[in-house]
Amino acid sequence: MTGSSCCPADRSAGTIAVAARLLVAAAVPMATMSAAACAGPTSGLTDYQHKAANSAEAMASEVQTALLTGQLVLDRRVQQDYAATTASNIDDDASSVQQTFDSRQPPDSAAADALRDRLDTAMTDATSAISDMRIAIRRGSDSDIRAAVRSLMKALKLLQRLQSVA
Amino acid sequence: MSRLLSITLGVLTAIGGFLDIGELVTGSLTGARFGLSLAWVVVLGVVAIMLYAEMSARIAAVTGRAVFDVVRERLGPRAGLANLTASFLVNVITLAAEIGGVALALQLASDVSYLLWVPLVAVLVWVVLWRLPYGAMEKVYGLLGLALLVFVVALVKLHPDWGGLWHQASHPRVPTGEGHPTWWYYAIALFGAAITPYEVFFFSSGAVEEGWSRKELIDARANVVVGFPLGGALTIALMAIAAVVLQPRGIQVDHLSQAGLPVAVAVGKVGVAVMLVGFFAATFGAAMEVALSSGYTIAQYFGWSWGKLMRPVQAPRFYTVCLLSLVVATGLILTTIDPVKLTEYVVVLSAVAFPLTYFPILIVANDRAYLGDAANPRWMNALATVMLVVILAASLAAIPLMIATKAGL
Repeated sequence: MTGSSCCPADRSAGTIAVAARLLVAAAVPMATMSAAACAGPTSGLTDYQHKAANSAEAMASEVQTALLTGQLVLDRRVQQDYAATTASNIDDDASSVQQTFDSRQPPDSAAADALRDRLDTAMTDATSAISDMRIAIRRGSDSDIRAAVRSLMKALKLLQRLQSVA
Repeated sequence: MSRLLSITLGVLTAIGGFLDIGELVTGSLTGARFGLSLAWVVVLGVVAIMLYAEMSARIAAVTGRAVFDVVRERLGPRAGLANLTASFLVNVITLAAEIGGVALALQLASDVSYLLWVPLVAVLVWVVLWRLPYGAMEKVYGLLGLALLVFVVALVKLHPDWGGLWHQASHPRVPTGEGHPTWWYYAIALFGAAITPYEVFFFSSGAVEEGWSRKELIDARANVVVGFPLGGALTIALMAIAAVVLQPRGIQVDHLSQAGLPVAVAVGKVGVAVMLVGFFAATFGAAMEVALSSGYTIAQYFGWSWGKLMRPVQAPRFYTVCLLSLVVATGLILTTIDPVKLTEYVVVLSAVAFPLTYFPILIVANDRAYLGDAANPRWMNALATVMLVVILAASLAAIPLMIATKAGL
């Protein structure tokens, strides 16, 4: 196919300016995306509680995914490679959720410190149980998967309680 | 018989073109988070893409020229360049997301890191673009894309509360615990995934490549009227299975693997295998369409020889642009940027560029100097104008909502 014969060679500097403006317009959302990916500052106890609840919710989502994947493996309803990839993904995500929460500076209050301790413990338990699930799935060990399911259930209960702190 | 075959192939192409990594990610993500309360957005997106794809096909069939070529001539080089720049940027980022999607599908099937698959996928896309005939390309990925009908099978096998799902879809409201800005942000993401610009460029350029004339307009309309709604139905099925299996557990979809878990629950290993074939076909087909669209838009703007039916030696600049787009997109995804996050962003960013793509199509489809008696009828103009207002609103709201919600958090 051949397009029409209009030659672009004589395009004025104005067209370049249009392109430049569009590139700048594209840069704005890119910068927004970068900014959106950062953990924001914490301004007070209420804000800290809100962010703690969000972190607990995000970790609970990883735990639930691990539980569902483990159950599917036990029921022979999913391929080993699929389950292993899923488990590795959520293992990485769980570590990231914990790291993000740990990097937040809590406000200077005993309540905030207590909340941080409780959530940190719950998250450590959850992360450890998710890693156990990943290892068990990759080893193809049903008994280890069942053990990981029990640990995950305990961690989930703690996380669900912490979701309501906000 | 040949017409039926042509329509069937077109329908398959439309399904393959509509369902890509954007729909797979945003469909599952929104279903898991908001249930079917955003299903109306998919319906709106299907209507919009049907309208504008039909206009593009009609422009191509009547003038024998692709949309971009006519837009540049009708609106002048400056408006054409604005359209080109926005569309090309969105195309390249979309291509990166699609390549990442293919690699993720292969990772799920093999447990080998997607980053190792990315270069191989890029080479495979290029080889297929270079060697595989147009018709064969359409048939192969269109047919394989039908594997995603497994979402419908899964939904039926889950024995959901159909009344509850219908109520969610027909009485949309923001679920408890979610904010209105976040809900609207994901509405734009779903809308953006449905009407990604490459779809119309590919559709119209394909029409020119296949030599459509007024006689083939019936086929084109059949493809549009059946194909895109089928793609939309599959997206809603994906949302529904996520709403049934993932939402009650509070699972937030951050990975393609999570999107497939409801199929494992409902259908088991065979379903997962079929779904992975569908994931591969949908994303690979889309990657080819986007790569070709990049070549189409640039070549048509500058008046170069173009076409998949041409040998590379006959259209060297067209093939070079396709190759460079592929190289840049591959480089982007190899930076280890998360393909799912990239997809989430690109469907929203593409919304910003929508008016630059769709407004010129509406102008040209109304120009009797080009289309004669095939110009838009009044009812279509009314509907297309309403859609353009929606498109404009989505475009204006996309960035403020992205900032306000921290990209949907």
